Amino acid sequence: MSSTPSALPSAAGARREIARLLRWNHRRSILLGVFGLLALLPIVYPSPYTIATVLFYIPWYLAMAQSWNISGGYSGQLSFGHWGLLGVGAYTSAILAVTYGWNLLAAMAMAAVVTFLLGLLIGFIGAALRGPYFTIATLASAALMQLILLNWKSLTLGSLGFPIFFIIVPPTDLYYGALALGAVATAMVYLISRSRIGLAFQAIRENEDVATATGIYARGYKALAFGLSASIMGPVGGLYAFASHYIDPTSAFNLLYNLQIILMVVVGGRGKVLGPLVAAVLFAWVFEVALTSFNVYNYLLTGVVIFVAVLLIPRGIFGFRGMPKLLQF
Amino acid sequence: MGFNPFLVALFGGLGVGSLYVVFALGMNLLIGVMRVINFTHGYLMLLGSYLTYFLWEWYGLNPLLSLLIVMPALFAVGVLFHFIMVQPVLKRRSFEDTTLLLTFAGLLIMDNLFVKFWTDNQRQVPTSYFNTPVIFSTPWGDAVLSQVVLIGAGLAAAAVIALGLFLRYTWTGRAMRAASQDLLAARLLGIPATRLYAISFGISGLLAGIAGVVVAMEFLFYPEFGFNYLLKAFGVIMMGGLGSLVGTIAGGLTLGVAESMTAWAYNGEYGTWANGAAYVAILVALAIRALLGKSR
Repeated sequence: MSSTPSALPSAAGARREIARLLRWNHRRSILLGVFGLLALLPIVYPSPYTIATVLFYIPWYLAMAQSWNISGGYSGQLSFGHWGLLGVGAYTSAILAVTYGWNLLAAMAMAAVVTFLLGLLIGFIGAALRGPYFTIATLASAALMQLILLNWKSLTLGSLGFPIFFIIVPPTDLYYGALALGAVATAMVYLISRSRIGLAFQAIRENEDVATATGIYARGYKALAFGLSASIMGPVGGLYAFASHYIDPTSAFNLLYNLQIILMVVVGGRGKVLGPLVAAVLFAWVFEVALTSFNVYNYLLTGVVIFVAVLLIPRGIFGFRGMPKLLQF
Repeated sequence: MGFNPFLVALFGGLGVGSLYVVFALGMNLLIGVMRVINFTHGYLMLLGSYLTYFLWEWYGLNPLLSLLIVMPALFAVGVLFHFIMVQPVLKRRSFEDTTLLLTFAGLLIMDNLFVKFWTDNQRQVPTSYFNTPVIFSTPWGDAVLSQVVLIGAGLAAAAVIALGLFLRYTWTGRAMRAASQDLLAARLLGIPATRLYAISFGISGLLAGIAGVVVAMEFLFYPEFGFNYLLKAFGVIMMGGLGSLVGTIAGGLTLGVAESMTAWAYNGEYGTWANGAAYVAILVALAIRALLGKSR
């Protein structure tokens, strides 16, 4: 590790950093093991119906939770705006695929670019706002995104909804697409947790003034953190659109998803890699199996669990004293 | 002379705006005194509305008289909320983030319990003054308001004046202002933080209760109403300034007028774009704040 702290890493420093990030260790083995198990799920439960209605949502929620973890966990920007990014991603993918006939992967990649830029913008403008004020800004911006897409009728057909009936993706493809996205998101979080960028994010989270005083360009890093986090939400929205065959401004923009991923990250431990991963798998199962979607108890459970977790386990499920060190990352 | 649609929109906006003022004032008080953004505030208001509704339905109580029950009840609920959501995490380093998550969880729980017990049905306390129009004649044309809006605005004005006097002339009010300026200094001077916080939360709830009574008379309300009002209150507070009484009054009236003007400009399609006025207000105010480099 470089011993002299500097704002701009030198070429040698960058090379050392990359070499360090490439070194294998037990943490990566654990993560790889979890994803290996998840990859086996469709083989254990091969029914297309089960895959489409239950299994798909596990990696889907996982990707969203890790996305929220980047901004909410590492850089300390509690976002209540990820549901807006999901909606924008869903509409971008659907419109590109249906209206313009794009390849689905290209459409989702474009959605990632769009949400990345949106996130960068929100992060950059909102960087001057701290704590709860940033949160309110994200909430309002998401509500505004919904309102704009609702009223932009020539593009989105407004409240009639946007049909995607002619695009049929096999459930297995959807599942592995979501799993790949979840893996990318987890890798992103892991690399952030091990890199200088991640250290900068955490320094800003802990004390922005001190971080700035040590030469960290807080505004740039906050914009970057939110942009990276947002970029995951574009393809997440795309997967949602292609999985549900039909989107409208009420179903694609749903604050509940935002709250559920906050729950997953809070229960798993904010700013951790493994905790949110495990919590996401656990709660995705609870939400999609124990309770069907849009059950009224879904919200109630989300509220109660967030409440209890914030009060009782502020460090997350693997943050207890007795837990093996191996799992606390 | 006939109606002047501009004036009708203006007066209507001021009428709704006065309700926003009372509602946002309770939230802003908590932000000022203890830096807590209370997401449950909209549902505290609805609690007042439902209480008014059921007092009317079961006992036929006049909604204005039910203020005498709603106000102390909501004060008690506010104090209770303080001991559930704020007191346990008072010493945490990430106090603001933690209370944000806790009150948001509270919002989810309340929303669900409301839907479960009282369903999604739209309710209203019908009053004789609801259908009584009051016409204002001006040199530029006439404006019209329902009598109930005038009563609501009167209640709002009374509440604001009472709060202003309370903050200025009572020991507790002065302690609140001291705590909002510098908590540590206030505590060193012997102000008991816990009691002060509990009382602030209670007064915040009481103001939400007053807004709730007005809502029960003026609108068809249902559980989601609480969330919509929350977003509006954010708009008011962001425009008016955090912890500022005068700013909240100006912000609330501005938002009310902005909304009704938007609705008027778009041919009375109130739901579609008018709600956007609040979001735009929030974002514009935040952007200005960000550009000026003020973090709070």
